[in-house]
Amino acid sequence: MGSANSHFTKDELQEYSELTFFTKQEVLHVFEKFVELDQDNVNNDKLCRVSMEKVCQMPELKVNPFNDRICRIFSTSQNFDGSLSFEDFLDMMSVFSDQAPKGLKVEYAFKVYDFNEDDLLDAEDIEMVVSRLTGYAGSLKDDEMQQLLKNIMQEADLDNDDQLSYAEFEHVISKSPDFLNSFRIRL
Amino acid sequence: MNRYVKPNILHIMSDSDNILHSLDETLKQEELMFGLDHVNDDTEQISEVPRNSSYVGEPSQPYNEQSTLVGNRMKTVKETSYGLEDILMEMPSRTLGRRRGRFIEDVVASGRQDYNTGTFSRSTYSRRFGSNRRHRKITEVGGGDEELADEIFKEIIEDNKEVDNEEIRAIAVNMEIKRKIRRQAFTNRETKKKNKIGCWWMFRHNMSLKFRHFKEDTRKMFASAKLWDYHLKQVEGNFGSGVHSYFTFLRGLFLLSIPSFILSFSFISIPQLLDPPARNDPNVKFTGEELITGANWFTETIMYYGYYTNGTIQTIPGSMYKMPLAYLLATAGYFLLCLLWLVKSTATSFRRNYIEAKEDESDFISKVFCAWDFGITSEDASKLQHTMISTELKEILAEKRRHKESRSSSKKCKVFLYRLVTWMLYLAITGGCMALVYFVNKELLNKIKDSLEGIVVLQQISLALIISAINLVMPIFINLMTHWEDYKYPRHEMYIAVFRNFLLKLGMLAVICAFWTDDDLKSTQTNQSGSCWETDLGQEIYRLVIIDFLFTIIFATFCAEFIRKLLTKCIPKLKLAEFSIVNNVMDLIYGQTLCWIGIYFSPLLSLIIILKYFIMFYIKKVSVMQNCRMSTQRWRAAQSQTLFNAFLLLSFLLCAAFLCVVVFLETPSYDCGPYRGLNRSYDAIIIEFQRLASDESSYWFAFIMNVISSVWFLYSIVVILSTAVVLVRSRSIGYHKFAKALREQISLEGQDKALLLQWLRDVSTNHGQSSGGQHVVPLLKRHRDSIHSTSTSAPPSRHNSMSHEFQRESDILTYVDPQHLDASHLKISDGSPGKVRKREHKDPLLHKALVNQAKRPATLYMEHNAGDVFGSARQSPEVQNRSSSFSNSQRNNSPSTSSSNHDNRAALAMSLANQHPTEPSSPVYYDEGTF
Repeated sequence: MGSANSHFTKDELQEYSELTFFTKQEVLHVFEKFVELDQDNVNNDKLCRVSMEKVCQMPELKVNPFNDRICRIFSTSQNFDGSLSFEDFLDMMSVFSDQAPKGLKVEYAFKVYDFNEDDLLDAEDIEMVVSRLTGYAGSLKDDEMQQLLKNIMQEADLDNDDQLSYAEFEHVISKSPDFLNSFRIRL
Repeated sequence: MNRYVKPNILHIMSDSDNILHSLDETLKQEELMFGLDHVNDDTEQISEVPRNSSYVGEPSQPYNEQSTLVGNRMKTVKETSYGLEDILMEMPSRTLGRRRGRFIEDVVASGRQDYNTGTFSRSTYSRRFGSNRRHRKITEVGGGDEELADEIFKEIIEDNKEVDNEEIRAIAVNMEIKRKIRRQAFTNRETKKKNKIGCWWMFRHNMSLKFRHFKEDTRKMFASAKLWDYHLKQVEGNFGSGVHSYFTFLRGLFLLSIPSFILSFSFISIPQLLDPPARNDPNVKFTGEELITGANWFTETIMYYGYYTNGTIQTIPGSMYKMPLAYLLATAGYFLLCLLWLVKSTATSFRRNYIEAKEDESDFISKVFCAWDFGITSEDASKLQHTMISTELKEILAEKRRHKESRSSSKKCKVFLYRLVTWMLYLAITGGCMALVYFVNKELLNKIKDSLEGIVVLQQISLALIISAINLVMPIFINLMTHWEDYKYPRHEMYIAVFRNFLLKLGMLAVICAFWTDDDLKSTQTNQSGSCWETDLGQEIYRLVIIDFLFTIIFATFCAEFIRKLLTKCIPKLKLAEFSIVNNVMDLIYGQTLCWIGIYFSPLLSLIIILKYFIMFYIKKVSVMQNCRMSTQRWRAAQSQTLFNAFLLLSFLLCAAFLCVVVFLETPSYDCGPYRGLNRSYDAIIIEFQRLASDESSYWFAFIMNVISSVWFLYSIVVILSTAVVLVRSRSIGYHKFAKALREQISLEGQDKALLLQWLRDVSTNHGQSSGGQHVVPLLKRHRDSIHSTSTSAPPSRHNSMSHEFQRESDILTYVDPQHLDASHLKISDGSPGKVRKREHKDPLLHKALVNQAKRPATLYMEHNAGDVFGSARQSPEVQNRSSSFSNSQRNNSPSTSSSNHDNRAALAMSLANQHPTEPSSPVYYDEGTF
């Protein structure tokens, strides 16, 4: 802990802990995790960015089919390469923590699933989500996919425009009690 | 709920202004474009997109879809005439703004010309804070952060004066912006401080700040300092949230039993330890077998009811500690504690998982969007999860298909018969088990009576052995039986199986309880000296707890999991055991039930239970990690958790009922325990009351107790409670109706949106071919269709009469409802004289139609329009006022702009409708700012 402690001033830590759902101890713990991702660079410069490939090596993200999306939405990089600075990383862990409110999580979940980033979950996005979920276990057949899409739209698409806006997504997802259980990464 | 209902009819109106305005823009730009670089359009898009797109070709990505995605994206960009998509986004404000990061269209647009100013805020924060931000134009690149932070800050300030960390944290923006907001909040506070320097204010402010920090820190501390968190994470990482929920359940029970142990130990056992009564039989030595039987030496310790005195304890001089009273009150306190905890947890999970989720069964959504357990860390688990999700999706799809073709009647009959048989079988088995327990109990008692001296350990524990064996074997059988019954949903199958197991276990416990509290037995026992049925029952429960624990460890964990693992190495076909969450949780519930029954007869049982849970956690965890594989069935953790909580609560209530019977009705043992010599245990309290009441000094206490225990007091409480229930119930009904109405409104709005979009497409596609004439037809046709399709409330005869009104087809063609033509179709001149910008409508036919319309008295048409969704909000100011007052309650849209907008609309509509036939359509001044 000592080495990590020296990286931040007291004020910085205070600020981080105020802006996230973590205590100071936990912020330091997150930093340790961040250091593990890319030892050499981060030790030299704590503000440096860790590339997406390296972040995705983290055990929690490694097996996650949406790991690239997660990196992208939390990245503030100007090059849009999905690389994360420590602050981005802290943001990410904060959103995935247990204490984060449901609304925040839903918002980021929407971003994660919105592959083409048009702020709507359309058939294309959902197909992508499903194909990533099933992974190598074999995607659904075409007719199955169509049926699935139809059912999803039936359930969630309140205004029948064949795409889910954020409001619709939030509405259905906040009623699904499994969401909070699934959308979290523990420290 | 509230957030997505914000859009309403009035909104659409204002939106359609925007839409048509933007459409106009688009058309203008296209006009420019078509002449200049029509050919270049597509190539430009193609060349622009890859350079700037945020998700173009990741070489490291295993997913090939990436490249096709970009293709698709570009296709859509090409397909929709650009700008149309923007308009789509700005349609009824369900999509409140867009995010930063989505900038492809922008880049494309800015590649052609400086279209950037036309886009609206992309940040999600606007979703959080309402729709009025939509109309603010924020430059996307460059100094966007600062402005964004500014906006959000202002937004929060408007909502509530103080910007605290809680609020900032929950905004979905990156750290940099959050920091800026925080800084602003800080400076804001500072300036406030400067403005009103008052000692008191400063002090109060500082204190509140400190207090808030303190509160936050403690909350975070509690949240982070969770018992066994590391182990839980490990389990979740490898086995997902299902198994994880078992362990959290175990942890919850463990945590519950600690305060209850402290309570009973400190108020019952410690006072007794201070003044230990002499043992009846001092020769009995501790041999070790007591640990299993709980008898012999243990009989006369603080372990059991029989040992406690009925007198007062005066070890500490000057203090009087009445044991009977303390015993009863501490037990009652323990039960109250458990009740509070249980009711709270059950109610919370019930509300979250059933009531809120009830409205519509969101099966597919949660199976797709909540399917992936983000907490999983191991490779194997993730593979399994992929497979699981795949098979599950396929299954439910197949099920859905099957669902449509319902079972034939013969099959239904067969299933019904089958279930009848299994239920009979099950009831017979349960009855048999209960009878067995009863007879074994009786037989044992006789034997013990016969041979008083040499009581063998095996005989003592035989009952517990039998019950534990039944508990071990029967669930397997019951699960199989339920599986054969062919339930449609696996969930139902699980519920039925759990219920049957639960009933069986409780049934056997009930037999034991009934046996020991039986009057015949007690009457025979009272003749013997030194016998104490409470202690006997306590011992029986103790044995059950211990034996059950051993069985769980030896058979369920060691044999079924560890030995099986060893066997898998020899027999390759055999797979590792699955961790059965249902059975394990049912075991926990059973153990807790035992504890609740036994706590009155053996106050230290809670200590045993604590130890048991502690050991169990580690054994189970190691066993799961080493010997088990992940379940192939997906586990709906949240719902099942509620179910288990409910079962726990039910068994608790049954136990409490049983204890109430014991305390209020049963005669306690004649010469043991704190209530010896009394008719009922409860009499101890009554005697105490009477003593207090007769005492002059505590008259007030007796008075209060009298009031509380009077009929009238109870009666008034019942009345108040039932009134409250009725009120809450009627309110919930009201909410349901309200929600339903809002839902209908949303779907209507969806239709509106679709219709508007269709119009837009028609107009924009027909704009290019200026052959005139035919493109009005689809527009008007649409319009008429919409009237017919949406005005469900209007009687059909009206439509007929309306069609009679228009005799010539040309009339229909050129008759345009003024409300559906917007200012963009009219001659518009800017209000300000400085920059006069005239826009003649480009479409001569529409223009003509409008003039034609102006010549006719439109009142007739307006009447027919009644019931039309579009019309209803626009017809007259009164209607509009009504609907706007309705909508204002749901949105925090800035009222000034929107209402003036609507007023304009109304004025426009009315002026058009009431124009004199001969008067040509006068120029309408339209305020540009309202767009």
